[in-house]
Amino acid sequence: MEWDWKTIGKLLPTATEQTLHMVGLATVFTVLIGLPLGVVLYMTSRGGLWANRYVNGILGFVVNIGRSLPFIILMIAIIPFTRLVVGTSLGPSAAVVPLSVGAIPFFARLVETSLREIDRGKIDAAIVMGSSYRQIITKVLVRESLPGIIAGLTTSVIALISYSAMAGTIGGGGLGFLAKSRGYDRFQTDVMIATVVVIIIIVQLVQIIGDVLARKLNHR
Amino acid sequence: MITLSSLRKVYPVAGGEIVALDTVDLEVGRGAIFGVVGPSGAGKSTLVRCLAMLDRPTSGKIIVNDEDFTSTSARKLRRARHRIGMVFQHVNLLENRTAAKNVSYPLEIAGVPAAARQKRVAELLALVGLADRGGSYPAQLSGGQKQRVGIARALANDPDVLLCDEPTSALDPTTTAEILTLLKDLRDRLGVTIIIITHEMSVVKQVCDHVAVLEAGRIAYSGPLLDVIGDPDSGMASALLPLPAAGTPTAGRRSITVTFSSAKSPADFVSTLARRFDVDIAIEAASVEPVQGNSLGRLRLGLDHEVDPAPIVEYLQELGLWVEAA
Repeated sequence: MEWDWKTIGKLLPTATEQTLHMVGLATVFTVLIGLPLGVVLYMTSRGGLWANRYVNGILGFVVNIGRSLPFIILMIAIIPFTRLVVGTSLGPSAAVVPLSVGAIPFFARLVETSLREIDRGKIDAAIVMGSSYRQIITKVLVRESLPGIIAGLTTSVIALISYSAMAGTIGGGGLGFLAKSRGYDRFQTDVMIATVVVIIIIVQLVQIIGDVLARKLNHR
Repeated sequence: MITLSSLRKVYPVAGGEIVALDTVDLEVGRGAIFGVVGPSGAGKSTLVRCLAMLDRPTSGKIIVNDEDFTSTSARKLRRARHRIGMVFQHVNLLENRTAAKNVSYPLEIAGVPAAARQKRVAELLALVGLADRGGSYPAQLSGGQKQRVGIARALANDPDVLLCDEPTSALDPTTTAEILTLLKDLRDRLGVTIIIITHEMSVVKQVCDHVAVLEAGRIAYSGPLLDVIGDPDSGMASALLPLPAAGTPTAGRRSITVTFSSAKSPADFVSTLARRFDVDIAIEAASVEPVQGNSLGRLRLGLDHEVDPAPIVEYLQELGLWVEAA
């Protein structure tokens, strides 16, 4: 096999940058929306401080829809919504919309699961000491389960990297697009291998950073 | 200090309701160490949750320092909570905060400035004997040390009342004794009123000066410890000073079980009794322990069958002893 370093050198950095752009922005939206959503799912669940069967049922239903759709279908199905938000359905910025929509419910459920691990006694103690709901959420719930939330975020970011490759193939650009347009369509196996290596490196780095951070924050 | 009047808590269940607390009336004086005992299912946990205002009572009043907890608004309640510090069986420290930061938590939420907070935390840790462990995380502390941190945290806002829910039930006997000594010491130094809910009679014996017995959601007995012990119906004497089961009764003997406190009765009553009635007395079983600085004892005396017990019982009662069974 011939290694065409010139082509790889020209295409790979741009594709990598586009992937990081898509995943990075989508991660920001996933945290900004998924974290509060996970907290609300937890707080409104049975026995929660804001226990509300209807709110919890509706949110749970919506989250489950988001999670049950395969990403490739979700991505195509919400193209009109993506156009509405970004103005186009092509390019890395447009890909951020379906990526976020796909990852938010996933992350929200992971946040909810982490919060469930917290002993109810700690919440009682916080209430007895006169904490407001906001203080309970920020100082007790989120802080105590932060290692679990970070682990969940790591899993979500890795899922986003995988989604981003799919988004790439339908016009999002990035490493997925490069692998398909060159490696698959033009039989440039060297480009294919190079993209795979870069993706593996990115995933490994994300996992390592996530693990180190979670361990540092966990004092249990 | 604390008055509970006609406190009632009813939990609805499928096809009916469960009455967890049925008209509880209780008076706890300032500076008391008040024990609430009772078997599981008697309503102890419900009483704690109502006192801590984690559950709203169905009816009745909880009055702390002339303030009615049951009718305050949520906002006022949050402030009123600072008057009550709570100590939990499982401590419930935040695991990702150091001991010092845990003690600091109630000060943070009360809006105490950082510098004052730091000073107060150091004081509190010293008060519970953990001055040098402020930087440790709960996972690095022993069970007894964690409970000390829990107590320091409960005292942070200078509460009038320390509400302790089974504070030593997860600890070994030595650590239990240390924690109870600490609680007593804190009451003496700070004048804080302490309510201890427990199923451990040894806790009552070691620290409480007042006690209430909760049975099936009602207060069956309550009052100064020695008075409740003196009431044979309360069963407190036999619970605090259990005697070994009677062996095969010796033919021709009858047993009398008596309870005495050195505060009320002469310690030499057995020999006085023997001399006065010219009888032989066998001690079949005995348990004597220090309670509130007195020695409190329970004895099963064996008398000859021929002897008429009535004047003996009368004499013992005159001496201030509590006679259970003749």
